[in-house]
Amino acid sequence: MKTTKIITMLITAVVAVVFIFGTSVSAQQKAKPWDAPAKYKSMKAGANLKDAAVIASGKELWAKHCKSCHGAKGLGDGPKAATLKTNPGDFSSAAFQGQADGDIFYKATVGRDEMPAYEKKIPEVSDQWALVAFMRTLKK
Amino acid sequence: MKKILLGLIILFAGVSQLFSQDSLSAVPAQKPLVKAAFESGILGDYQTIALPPAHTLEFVLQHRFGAYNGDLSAFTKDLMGIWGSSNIRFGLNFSLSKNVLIGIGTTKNKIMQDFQLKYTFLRQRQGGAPVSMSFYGNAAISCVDKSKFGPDYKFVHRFSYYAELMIAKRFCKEFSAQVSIAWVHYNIVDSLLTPNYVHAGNINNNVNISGIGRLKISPQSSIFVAYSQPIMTYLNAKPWPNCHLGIEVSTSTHAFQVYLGAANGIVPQEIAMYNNNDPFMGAILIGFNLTRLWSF
Repeated sequence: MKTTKIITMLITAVVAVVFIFGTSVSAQQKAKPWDAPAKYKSMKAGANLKDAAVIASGKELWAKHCKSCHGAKGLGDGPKAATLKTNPGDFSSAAFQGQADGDIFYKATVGRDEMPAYEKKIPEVSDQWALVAFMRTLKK
Repeated sequence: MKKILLGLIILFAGVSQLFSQDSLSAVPAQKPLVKAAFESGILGDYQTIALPPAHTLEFVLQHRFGAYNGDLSAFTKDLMGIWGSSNIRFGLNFSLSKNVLIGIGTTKNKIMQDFQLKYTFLRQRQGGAPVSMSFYGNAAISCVDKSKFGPDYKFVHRFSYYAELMIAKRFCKEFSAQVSIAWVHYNIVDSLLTPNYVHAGNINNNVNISGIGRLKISPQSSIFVAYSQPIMTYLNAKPWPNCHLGIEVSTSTHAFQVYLGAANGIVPQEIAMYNNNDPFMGAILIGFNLTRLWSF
């Protein structure tokens, strides 16, 4: 009985030490610089990015595929954002909106690291451009 | 049976030619596709015309709780069927291309192993084809003990088949609907199944008609209703019709559906031929489906 008590206390102490000191939480890192290939920089938009119907279509796709990480307004505050190693970023910022349409198209469809590629999940090119059209409306 | 199946395949393939190009000298750009009428290839107990993108693996989990039979005391006995006898199916599907999907599955009731194929041969386009059309077929093997098949048991008695033509339309951003007609065949059936005309003997075949309606209530959620009716057996006797009222939530990689329905068969031929739950007499159950996609 005494031995059992000692073992129980030892295990409790070890678990407490591990929980208090053993975990190391690193802060979420900012996204590293990301340049699109040259052909995307000069790419012409494959849809009228100001067309209301195109934007509405993009909004629907955003809600299904993007909102969970990037948030409803692209502020990088979606419910899954906190679990990511890299901050999804603020799509309303001048830095994001200052990119060429082709840059945004490349990053949204090809992806990298934790950002999935969406070429297969959104196979229609018109839908991919609709997403870009919606992202343009996220500007502050 | 083989001739009927072959005839159906030729008919469905031929329908797609109605919208083929006239001129071979130049290939005009195709009209843009309308967004998919449904989020998932299944909606409740029903197949839809939707296919995941090419080279996508889909895991399907379908669960049907026990039926509540309209007796209020059953609420305390088995919590509206939740504690009652259930049925479950696990399935894996793979889209070989954007138009063809194959799949396998295993179901608890009657230990059914099923193999399925879905082929979308027409897609709704803006200014083009007004509807989408798909063919769905499956073959299922019941793996229960051979004594269940009667004294003249043969291995082929374990087989049943289902072939369905689906026609769907996305009417607007919020509303989609689908109608379908299916042929069901069992190599051997229960002796209690009889046709709805004066005829001696059992019925091995049935025709099942169904309709689905889906209304989007938010970018990711929708409510759906569905109804199906076997028409070769008695209209007001078993097998009873099946009907649904449910809700679906979908994300990029998942679809979740919860609904009130009647049939607990899951494999479509079981629903068309052996539904013992009459929804209009209060025999309803809670069902849920979960699908998950992986792209390759």
